[in-house]
Amino acid sequence: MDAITEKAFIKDDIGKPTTEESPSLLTIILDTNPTLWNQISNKFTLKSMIESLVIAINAHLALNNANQVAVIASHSDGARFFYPYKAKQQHSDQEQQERQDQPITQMENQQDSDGDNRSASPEIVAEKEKTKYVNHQMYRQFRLVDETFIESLFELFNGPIPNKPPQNSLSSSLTLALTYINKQQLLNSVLKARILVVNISPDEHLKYIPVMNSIFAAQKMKIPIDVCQIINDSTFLQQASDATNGVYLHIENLAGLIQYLTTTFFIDPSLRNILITPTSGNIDFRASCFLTGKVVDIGYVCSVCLCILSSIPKDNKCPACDSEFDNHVLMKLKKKPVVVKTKKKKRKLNDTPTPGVTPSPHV
Amino acid sequence: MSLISGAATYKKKSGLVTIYEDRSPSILQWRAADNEVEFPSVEMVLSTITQMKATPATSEVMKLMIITKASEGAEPVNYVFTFGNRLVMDNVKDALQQIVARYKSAAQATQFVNDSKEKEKPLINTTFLDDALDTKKLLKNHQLQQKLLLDDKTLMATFKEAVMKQGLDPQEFWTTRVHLLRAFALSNSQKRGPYNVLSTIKPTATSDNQVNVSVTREKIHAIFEQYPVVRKAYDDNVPRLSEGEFWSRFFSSKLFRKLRGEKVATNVRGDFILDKYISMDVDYEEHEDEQLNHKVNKIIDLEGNQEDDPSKLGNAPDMTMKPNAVPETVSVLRSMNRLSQKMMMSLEHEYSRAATPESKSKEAEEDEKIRQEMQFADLETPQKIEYMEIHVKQEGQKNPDQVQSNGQLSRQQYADNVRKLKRSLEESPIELLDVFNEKKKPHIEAASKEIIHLVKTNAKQSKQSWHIYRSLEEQSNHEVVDEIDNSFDKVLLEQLRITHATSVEFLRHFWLHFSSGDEKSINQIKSLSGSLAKSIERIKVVTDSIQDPKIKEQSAIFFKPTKDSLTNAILKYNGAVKESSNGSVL
Repeated sequence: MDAITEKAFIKDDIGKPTTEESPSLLTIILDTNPTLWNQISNKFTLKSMIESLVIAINAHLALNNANQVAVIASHSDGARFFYPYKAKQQHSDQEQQERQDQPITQMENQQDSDGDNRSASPEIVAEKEKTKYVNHQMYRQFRLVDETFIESLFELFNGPIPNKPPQNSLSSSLTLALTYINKQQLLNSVLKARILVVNISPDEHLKYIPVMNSIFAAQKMKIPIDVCQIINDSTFLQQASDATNGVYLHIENLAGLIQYLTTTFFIDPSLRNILITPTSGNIDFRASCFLTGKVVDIGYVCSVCLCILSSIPKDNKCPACDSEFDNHVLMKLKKKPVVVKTKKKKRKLNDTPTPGVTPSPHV
Repeated sequence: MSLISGAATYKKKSGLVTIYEDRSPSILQWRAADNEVEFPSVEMVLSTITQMKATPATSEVMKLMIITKASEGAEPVNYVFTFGNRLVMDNVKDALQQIVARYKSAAQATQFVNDSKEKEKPLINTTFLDDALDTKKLLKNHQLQQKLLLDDKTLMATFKEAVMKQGLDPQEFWTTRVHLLRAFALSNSQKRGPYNVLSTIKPTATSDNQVNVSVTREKIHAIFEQYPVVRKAYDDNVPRLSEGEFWSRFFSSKLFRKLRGEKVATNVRGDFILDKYISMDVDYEEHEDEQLNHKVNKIIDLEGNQEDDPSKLGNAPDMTMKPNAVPETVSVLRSMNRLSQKMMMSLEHEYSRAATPESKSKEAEEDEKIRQEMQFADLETPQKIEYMEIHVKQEGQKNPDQVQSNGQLSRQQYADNVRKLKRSLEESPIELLDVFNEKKKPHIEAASKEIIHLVKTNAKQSKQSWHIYRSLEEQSNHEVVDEIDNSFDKVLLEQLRITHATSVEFLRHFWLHFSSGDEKSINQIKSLSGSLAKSIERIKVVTDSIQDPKIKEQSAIFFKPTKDSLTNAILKYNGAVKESSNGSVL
């Protein structure tokens, strides 16, 4: 008897310290598309978004001394870190660093704009050193993060205008976030991580395949992707959070944003299995068309690469993998329903099918 | 055992009637004395005898009529033998009576076994699986369909409503459910494979020191299958010994012990008649070994190394390979192995995809094997694996929407946007206190309410959803909870469900034919579109008949998607009709 109870006590003692220290990494991906933020400025401003985010970040840091934060900007010319960011280094080093932090796809942009960058930057740096966005008296842990975050944001908007046409970089941001989380988890194996995507871009802007791949990667790494969707509802990101056990919310009550950020989007990954998450219940599982980017109800699927199409492409080739579609099958798909007997059977069969296609029953 | 025979005339030709009970199958043979006649001999299998008639003892004529039937449906055949001697005829008659009686009881016994197992006949032919699971055959297998309907109540309800009441073609109904038929046929044709029968037979001693063994017909059948020597012993002895005696002798014999794989001690008394078959068993074993043995490769295995040679390896050779191993033990091991192999072999053609009618003959397979053995694989040019590379393009640039909303922005416009945004950020310092103030309080409370509401609905849903089960086991143990609350009338609910299922059934068939673009299905499309219209009516009738306004409203909501899809289908049909009639005018 004694032996048994003794053992139980020992076990308890071992269990305690691990539960006390369970650091959590919150990775925020902020959509900073300037065009879109301007478009919605009458409803909601980037500034109020930042204010709410800063509070949420501080709250996260306050929960546990070992908690960590990362902020990534999903900008029109690529993804970059807001925090952690080595702002204290020399300017030239800084630029180097910035470049390293960016995924390869964005390197070109950076090189293109290097010239402009150099001429414009000295003044900005001087200005930045003076600027203090955050009160001195703020708790140091908070101040370090908040200051860097806001500073990098301003720096982003002070930076050069890229030559390439702007495009959405959520996929790059997700990849960046996942690699960062992976690195941090290698350093600290008990570290739990989650991603919070603050998105204002419509579904059509998202790159379907890369984002989907990132979702699968997150799913494998068991990292929940929470989505804070503003203005437009997004079916695609609903799937992202559903697949990763995250929370998706399309927020209409924007004045109450802080409440969502500190409750709905504040669930630690280790609690997800126990809590019932306040995610919106109805998930739209439809995929979007490869050509038009629109959500497809009934459509066509390429049998080689599984690319989804809302209509048969004119060149009878898969737009994603260039596989030629079987003419026989195409004819079958393009066949119009025959409801009335035609006297001239031959004519009907030789008729070239019109582009208006009846949807086939397979999705 | 002497043969029973006697002189008799058949079709006015004199000859000799003989009963050969030792032959298999046992027969009655009449051989004409004169070989010149057109029918020198007449033979009948004794098991086919259904009736016998003989002239009574008082009659002068001595005739024996035997009626045989080769199979259940075959025409009966009459044989009339005329005997010259009453004694001879009675002798033949009695022997035949005895034999026929034995066959009848045996037949009854097997019949009984069959009845008790309820239709032993499999629903599909499992020997040729690919063939039996062919769509066409499944669609024709009405027995299978019937059984599936009896098995699946919801399917039955749909079938009744759609096919029996609404007149949907049953063939139609099943074409969309071939997968169900296939799965059902497979799961239903599963049967227990052979097993080592003798090991399951355990003689038990009763209180009065009698040894009791109970065996069923099936077990006896299995014993005969697995141990041909027992069949031989049975065939040799049974008419002489009674069946019961044979088995009681068998179970106390040394033969039984040997076959079971027990060690036979020399002091066991055994059975005088049956134990002589032990030596015969050896012949059977040899014969079987020949059949089962895998032939040694004709070419030395070049890849083999010393580890493949049991005599060189440090491990001592297996005990079965030692020349002076205990013979009894070795023979037991061998007979067990033999039995296992035999059982596996007997299953070779069950459920095997290879067993298609046109599969290769044994020799061809053997030849193939030898050819493969002789090939030097490393001398052949390695086969290059050919594959297609798929280059998946990123959709980014060719996204027309993106081009419209974003790409048209000139660099200047974009720069303006950035400047504008920056200005709005710099307008006033970032003030965290702005996030929560009196003005925002109602919004924050509203947000809080919304979140709580979401959690509540999700909690309700997760009670029913599979999400909360941690394992598959938990899932399967959990009964499916009806989503509908208990207050809903059960009968009404059932009615609603059937109405819904029928509508879906018609929709499914409608689309199937509608999208086929096949001229042949015009009539079907037409009648199906009529059924769709009727389905809408039925829904209306059902929902209108509900008295309770609350439930009425609920049902209307339940049926909305169904109604929408029905209306949509009808619209599509009408549109197509209109279009093609316009087209034909042009």
